Amino acid sequence: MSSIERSPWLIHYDASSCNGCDIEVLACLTPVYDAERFGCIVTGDPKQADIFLVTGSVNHLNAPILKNIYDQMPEPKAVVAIGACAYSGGVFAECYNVAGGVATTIPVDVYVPGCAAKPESILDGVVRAAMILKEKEKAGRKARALARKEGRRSPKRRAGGAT
Amino acid sequence: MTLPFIVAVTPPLFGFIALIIKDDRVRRFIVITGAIAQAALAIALAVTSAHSLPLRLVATLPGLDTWILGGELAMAAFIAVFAVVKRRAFPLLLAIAQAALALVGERWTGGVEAQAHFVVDQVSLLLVIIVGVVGGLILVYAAGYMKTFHEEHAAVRDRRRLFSFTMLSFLGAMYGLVMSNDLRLMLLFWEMTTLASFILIGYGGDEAAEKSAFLALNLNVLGGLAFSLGIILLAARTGSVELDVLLAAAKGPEAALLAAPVALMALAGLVKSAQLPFTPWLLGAMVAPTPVSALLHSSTMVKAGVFLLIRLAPAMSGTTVGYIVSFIGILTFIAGAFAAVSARNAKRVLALSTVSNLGLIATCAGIGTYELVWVALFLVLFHAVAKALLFISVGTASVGTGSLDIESMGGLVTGMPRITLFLIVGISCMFVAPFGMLVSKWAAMEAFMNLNSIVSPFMIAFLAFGSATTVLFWAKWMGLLLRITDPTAPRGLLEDKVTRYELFSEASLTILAIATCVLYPLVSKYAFEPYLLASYGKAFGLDRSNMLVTVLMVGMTVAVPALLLIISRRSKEGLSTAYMSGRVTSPGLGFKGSKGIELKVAMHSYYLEGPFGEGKILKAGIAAGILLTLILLGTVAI
Amino acid sequence: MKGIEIYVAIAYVILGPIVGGLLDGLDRVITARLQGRVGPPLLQPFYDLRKLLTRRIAPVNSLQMPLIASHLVFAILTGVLFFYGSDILLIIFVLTLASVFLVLAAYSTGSPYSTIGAERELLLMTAYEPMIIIALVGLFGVAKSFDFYAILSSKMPAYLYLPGIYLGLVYVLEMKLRKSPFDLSTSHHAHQELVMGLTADMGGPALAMVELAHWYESVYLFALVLLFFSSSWVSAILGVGFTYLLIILLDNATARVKWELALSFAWIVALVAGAGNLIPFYLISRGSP
Repeated sequence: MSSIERSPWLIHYDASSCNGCDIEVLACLTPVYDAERFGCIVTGDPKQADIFLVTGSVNHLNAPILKNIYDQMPEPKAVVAIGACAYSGGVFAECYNVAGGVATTIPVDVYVPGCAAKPESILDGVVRAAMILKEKEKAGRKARALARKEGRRSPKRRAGGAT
Repeated sequence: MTLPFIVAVTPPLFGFIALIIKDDRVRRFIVITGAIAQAALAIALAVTSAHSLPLRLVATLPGLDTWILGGELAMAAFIAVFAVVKRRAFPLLLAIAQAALALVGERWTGGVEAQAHFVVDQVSLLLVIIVGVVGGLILVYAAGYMKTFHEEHAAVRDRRRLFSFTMLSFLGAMYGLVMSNDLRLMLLFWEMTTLASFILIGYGGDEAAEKSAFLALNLNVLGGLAFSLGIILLAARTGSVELDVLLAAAKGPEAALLAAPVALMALAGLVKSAQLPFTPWLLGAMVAPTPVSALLHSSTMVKAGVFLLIRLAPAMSGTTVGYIVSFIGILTFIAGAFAAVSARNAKRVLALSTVSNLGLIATCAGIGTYELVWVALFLVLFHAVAKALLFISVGTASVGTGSLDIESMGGLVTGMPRITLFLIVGISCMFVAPFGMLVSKWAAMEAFMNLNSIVSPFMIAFLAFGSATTVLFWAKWMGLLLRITDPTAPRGLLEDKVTRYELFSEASLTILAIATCVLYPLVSKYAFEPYLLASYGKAFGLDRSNMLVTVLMVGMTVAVPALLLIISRRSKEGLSTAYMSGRVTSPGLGFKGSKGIELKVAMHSYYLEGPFGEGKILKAGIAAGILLTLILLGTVAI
Repeated sequence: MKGIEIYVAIAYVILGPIVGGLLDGLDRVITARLQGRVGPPLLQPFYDLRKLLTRRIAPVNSLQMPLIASHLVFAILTGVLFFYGSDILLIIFVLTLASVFLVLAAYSTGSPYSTIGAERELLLMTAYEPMIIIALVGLFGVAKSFDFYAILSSKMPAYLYLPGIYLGLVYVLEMKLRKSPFDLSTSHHAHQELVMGLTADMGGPALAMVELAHWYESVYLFALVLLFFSSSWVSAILGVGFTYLLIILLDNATARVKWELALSFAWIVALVAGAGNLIPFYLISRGSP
């Protein structure tokens, strides 16, 4: 079993949500849902995180912040967009300041549906993201091995698109 | 003409030459030559006399008494003239008292013939080498620093000829002091150092400098009066004025007679080493230019104070006087360490830390067992080298950053990488194992543990709290130096004003600081243990395996980070930016605020004014110090 | 020349992280059970470490990694000296050196979070050091030695002579092990007002080194606790086990304190429970040599 799959550390960013999904994310840590079962730790530091949980729609002011947090995470990384707003902007989509869903700014790997999303489905999304990470890690290793064989330095990879 | 005499006379000789030369460059050449010559002579003295210690020398000058009296009166007159010119009544009174005491004391001390006027033993040589080498390096530094100082401070009158003369004479007086066995001679040199420090502290010429200079003068002349009184009492009671006779008598049946003179001399030592309640003079003395502070704090002046206390240690051991001195010492140790936490001015932090470390030396000397004297001697050595390094590096850093505030040294590693390295070595030597000061503190704890006295658990508890606090302010300072807010910035931009004299002194002291930490087992074996064996009948050294561990650790502490740094330099990986809550930052941690306005991150350290406020701690310390000093004087009266 | 001590010291270098990691894993399981959760697997700390080592992340500056690596080297060295039977008082001072490297690494990043974390760590170091020194002096008083093995083989029930010092030591171990209520400088959990504080901006291998150093440290800290219960095997197992559980319980049952409280309480504990135990003990044992 890949090491990253066994200890997916999370970072959570609330873009501009009604806080419904955020409360459900926190609910995942409570005894009832117990995200630590899967080895998850919620860190506050993108440099220590593997999976990026984003709730809420992206607006023009926080888009650079979202992008920056994503950039500060080490490769490979996965993004989980939680709830309707993170998918499309949700009920805020028509607001003057809203850019839309998370995918307008950074590549998303897993969408968790719901308004608000249920803790069970958030956990499911995290586990799926961990599996995607494992695949990305494997692909990355292959790419690096190939690059070594060709005698070149490993190319700086940007994470792939949505699944 | 013997070598000790030549050593003592060389610095003032060069001082006189410096005094009459007007041309800056020629004078600088003379001063540096003098500094190197006297350091070489000091080392030569140590090397040639190492096998024949202690050297006992008799001065053959006819009418020595009259010369000493003349010197005393001349200095009193000098002080009196200054006091009248500056319209200060108290120093005038002190000068009159000093003259009167010298004349009256002549009745008892006048006819006494000394067996040996000078005795050179291992402790004298330790001080001789510290004065010669550390003092010499400070003089070399001063040659560069004072030029920059006068360029930056146009308002200060350029009296560099007097400055060079006084600095050099200061070293000469120190040589005389540490080799004197005749206490009358020691007192003469003692007063010379007081006078020299008075001139140097007042160098700036402004009101603050004058105030500090007179404070230092008042307190130290007061201490000198106590010294003088002690000698008169000693002569009246035992008919001798010699230190070695005094120490020998202290073990005999006459010990009770000696308590009062020892107490008075110890008081003089406490004043000079800036123990509570006399600390303010040393704190005030930091208004002087950096080389003066470095000299006062490391190799001269305060070291004269603790030197006298260490000399008196066998006589103080186990007596009421000794316990009072050790309590004053430990009080000063802990108050100095606490007060340094809330200090922001770099020189003030250094000054408070000096006070604190001198307190520990006084504690060890006051208890006076052979183990603690071993500790005290090492504290003197380690402190002299590390503190000189720190003072002169801070001086250089403050020219670069334009401020003495510790906060302004944040990120100095970028602007002044070399100076930062010097500072880091100096700071490490002050507070962290396996470097000198901490090894000494550790040895002090072990010595207290073996002491089997009621005071030892109290002393250990005080030591534990004091030394934990030193971590706080030193590590904070070190961290500030290493803070890197812009890793891509060009390095060394602030170092263009640094002269090569400064760099030479700083680099030499850095190497010396590390060398003392590595070579201390040898110093212990070949210098301190024979001394202890001679004067206590017992030798003490730390367990050999433990010494080896500390020496190996010093090597690792220097080598490991250096090696890792070299390895990491090799990797060509890029750097990432620091986490700022997701904000996009520009170099130097700038970011766009909510209205798109560019802001910079501003960080300030903890100074913990609440629990560690400098003012209130010093106030309480001075009150307690006055109480203990009164008790000390009480023992004299009884 | 020393005999068995060398092998213990070598074994410590190899087995130290395994024991430390297991202590950490068990801690997380017990904590989860206390909170009514299933919790992570016992080996979770090792999974975390393995993952952190594979993560590739650039340091913030050129000083960060060397300083963190020095922290690890000196944390291991402290333990090696400890189990080699060097003077434990000296070792505690070397432990300070290791911590100072970590604090400097945090300072060097320049981020406000790690700067505040570093300063709080310094405060904690100031807070716990007197108590640890008093504890060692107390142990010296009981066994008349500063050698780990000498104290261990003296078979003295130190906890009976030094109950106050033992409790004081447990109190400051909460700080040293970065447990609540003293997890001011950094925390494993994201309910920290400082983000990750001291360990902010330390990703991947850097954090792995910090974790590893922490495991090494916890082994000899518990070995220190063992010295209080060295009179028999039973008391050793019960004593250390009790201490371990007590620390976890306190971690779960308390809320984080402010730095003023952390400092003043630790010093009050060191004075009352530590010095208050040491001084009478010293005076009594002086009477009967």
